[in-house]
Amino acid sequence: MNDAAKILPGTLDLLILKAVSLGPQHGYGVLLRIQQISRGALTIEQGALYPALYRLEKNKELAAEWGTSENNRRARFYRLTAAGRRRLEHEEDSWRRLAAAMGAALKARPEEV
Amino acid sequence: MWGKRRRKEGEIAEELAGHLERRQADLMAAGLDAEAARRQARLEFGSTDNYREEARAALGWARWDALRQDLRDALRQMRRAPGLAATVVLTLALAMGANTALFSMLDAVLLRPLNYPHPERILIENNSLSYPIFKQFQARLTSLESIAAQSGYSFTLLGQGAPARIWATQTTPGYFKVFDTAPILGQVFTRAELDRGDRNVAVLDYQFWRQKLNGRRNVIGKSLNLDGKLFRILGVMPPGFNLSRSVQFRAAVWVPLQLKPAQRTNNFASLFILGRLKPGFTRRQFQSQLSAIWKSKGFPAKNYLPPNLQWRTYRSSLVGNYHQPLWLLISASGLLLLLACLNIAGLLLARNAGRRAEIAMRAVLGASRRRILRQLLAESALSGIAGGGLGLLLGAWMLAGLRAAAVAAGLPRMQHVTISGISLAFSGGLLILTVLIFGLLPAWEASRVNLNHAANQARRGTPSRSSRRILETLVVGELAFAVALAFGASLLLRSYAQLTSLPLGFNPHHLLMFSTDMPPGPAQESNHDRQRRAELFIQQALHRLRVLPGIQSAGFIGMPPFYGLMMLEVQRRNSPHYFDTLENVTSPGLLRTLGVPLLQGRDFTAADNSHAPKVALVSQALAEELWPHQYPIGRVFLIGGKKKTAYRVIGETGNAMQYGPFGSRAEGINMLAQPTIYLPYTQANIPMYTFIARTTMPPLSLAPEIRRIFNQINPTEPVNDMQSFQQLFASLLASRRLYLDLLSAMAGLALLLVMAGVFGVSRFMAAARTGEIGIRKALGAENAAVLRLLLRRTAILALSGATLGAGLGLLLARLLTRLLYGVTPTDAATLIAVAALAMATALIAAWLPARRAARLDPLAVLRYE
Repeated sequence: MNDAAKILPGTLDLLILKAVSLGPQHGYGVLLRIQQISRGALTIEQGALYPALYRLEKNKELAAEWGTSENNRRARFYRLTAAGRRRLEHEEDSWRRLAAAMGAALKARPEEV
Repeated sequence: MWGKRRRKEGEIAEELAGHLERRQADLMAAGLDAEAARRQARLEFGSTDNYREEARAALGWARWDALRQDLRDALRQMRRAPGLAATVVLTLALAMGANTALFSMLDAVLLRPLNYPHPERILIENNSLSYPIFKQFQARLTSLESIAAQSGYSFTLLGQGAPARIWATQTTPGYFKVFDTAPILGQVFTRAELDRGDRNVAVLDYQFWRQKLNGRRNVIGKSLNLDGKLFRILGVMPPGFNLSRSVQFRAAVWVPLQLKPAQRTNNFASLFILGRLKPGFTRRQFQSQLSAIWKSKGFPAKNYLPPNLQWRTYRSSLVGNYHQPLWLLISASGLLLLLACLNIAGLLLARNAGRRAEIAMRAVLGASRRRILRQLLAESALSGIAGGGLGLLLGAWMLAGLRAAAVAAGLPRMQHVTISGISLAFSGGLLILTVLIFGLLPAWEASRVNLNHAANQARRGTPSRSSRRILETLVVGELAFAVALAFGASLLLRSYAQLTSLPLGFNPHHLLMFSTDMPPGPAQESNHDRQRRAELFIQQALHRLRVLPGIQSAGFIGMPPFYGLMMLEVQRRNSPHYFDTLENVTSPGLLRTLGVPLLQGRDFTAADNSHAPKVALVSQALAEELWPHQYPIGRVFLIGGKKKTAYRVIGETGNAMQYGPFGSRAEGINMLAQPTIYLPYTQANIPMYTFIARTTMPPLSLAPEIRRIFNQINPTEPVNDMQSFQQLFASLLASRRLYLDLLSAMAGLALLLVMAGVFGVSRFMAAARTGEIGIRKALGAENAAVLRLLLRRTAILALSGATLGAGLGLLLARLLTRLLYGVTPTDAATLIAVAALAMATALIAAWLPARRAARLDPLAVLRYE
């Protein structure tokens, strides 16, 4: 885990929205999905997931209901709402632009300045 | 809300636990043993408590948690100064309750529009008028859209349980057009119907219909037995239609006006005339039309009606008498509200001076201004909510009492009074605003001053010069107001005491009275036969009454005491002079039953019957007028106009009060010494059938037995108005009583405010001078000397307040003049007494905190300093 990057502040919401956009998930599922889609490169402190989930739910970007998990346990399943999808698209977009800009900036060589 | 939250908390816990279990399971699957997996899962998760807290914040609960904390702190603060908290809450509640109740009454009686279309166009003539005048008005008052004449009447209702007396309004068909109100059921009577000769019809009052006929809708077309005649029920009027002044005389039915032929032509003024102004016409135009009619030739009433007949609006005739007293009361209570606000402000101001240190300390320790403000807001809000809630309850409770008293006093439109929302919002809003503003003041002050300086200074609680001056002005104002109100209340109280202790000329205790009517006779009964039957009925009734255990004596009287008597002119033989006198009709033994003394001669006996020579008893006052300094017995006087009847005086009675001591008319007339003659019921017309008994038991305990007797000897007529004389007297004074009670309550409230205000201020001042007191005592000052020092300031304030209040009180008394009896509005003894009482109240309130301060241990004080 040591080589996994700590995520940047403010990106947790984006990761959760992305994870949930791939299909409704319970909290632990969201965590696994984030690790899976980032190929283990990104790690989050597990407890921090929940305040973020609740905040997104309160903002009506996620909707939650109790259901039964794969091992027949009660679990709370989160799914993306329309507002959540809009936010995801928006954030993805700005993140891509930021990443591109950062990439370009970091590739810059002295003679280009 | 809390339940929902608790459930949510449970869900969060479950969700977090579920996460840990799944992680543990995954780790075990990866090869760890159970214990290691559990530990690892927890480690990866981080602090559960921490994240749970964060989760709550994410859900937006942080604010609630903080609020709860604030409220808990506020409660702690209030508990620390319970006296102050209780005073603030109680002041709030009392002022708000009183104001709301009184304003609701004002609103119901005076302000709320009448329940008719364009009520301002309904006019009514103050004087009762005769039928010929009504016909003239009907023909010539073209500015009126409709006009009607009405007159009160009472019927005996038969066939609905026991016989009962009901009140009716006899009226012409225009009546319903004047009020422009349709019945909720059936129809009203119209001119066409009456012209067809169908006169025995009735329209019902809503309340009567609901109570006596169970609100059955099929009563339309059925008959009502009134006085043995069948009246066909035409319709039912809506609930708010009937605004009869008092509950007692509330009309149960409206029936067509029925006049005897003589009444159609003579000037017997028995009708009230009312009309509805045509749209487009002004009151002024109407009034000029009216005076033109009065001036025109042949107008029949010139000799007894004033030339400028004043028609009032219906509303003003209904509630006009209550305008001044009610506005006076509401103004007083409004002032009380203001003072309560100021008082609360003063108390909080005084407390704040002590709290500045605490606030400054908090600020120094890093509390944000917002946090401090919120803390203080919570305290104020808590007092506001507690006081406001209590005030609402108190207001509803006061209004219930007020309603009962006001209905008894005959105030119109009070039966269905409810809490007026506007007034509640107004007085509540004002008071709570006061609490908020003055509760938050220290935070505002603390944020302005140099913290370091304040923290050092404020610990000593030195009050600012300006807040001290405000507080003192407040105390003076409160005292002045309390003195004025107490003076007004005392004047009313003295008037009431005077009225209830007036010499009546008879013994008012243990008197029971009731009225009935004689049994119906045959249709074509001669006057003589009727008189004969009446005599037999009265004799039989008296005979049965007199043998009843518990009854000492009983008699019959034509007009019950205080009911109003016939005016009569009498003259001596061979003298052109007429003397006004009151006339009543009695049975033998009636005066003895009442306790009116027989000064000379004899009472009537059974021998003074309709065949015997005509005899009379005269009151001392009349005897002195007719035959000054002479022996009246055996003398003769004459009654009547062209055809005179001679009566021989057989006895002289003591003077007895005939009219009740009510109304301003009573002023200036010696009510006791009104000349009166009594005629035997066998030799005069009997106006009413009232029996009076002197009892040896509480009078009303005999009522059931008496009703049983009358049900036997006269089953078709109800027994009405069964009451003790004391009850009658109280009901005549009910409206005075109401004003007296209200003003007294307000004066009491004002005195309470004075106590609270003075107490607060003097505690504050004492606290402010702690250092000084310590030094003085250290230098050898006695407790008593310190006490005097502290009380001197209060004494000066009290004296100025009382002086100001005396002036204010004299102004108030001028407004009360009409309600006073036997006491002048400038009564000095009363004024001095209430001023002294208010000052004593203030000094007592100041004494408690002053004494505590004077007893302080100088060492402790100086060490603290």
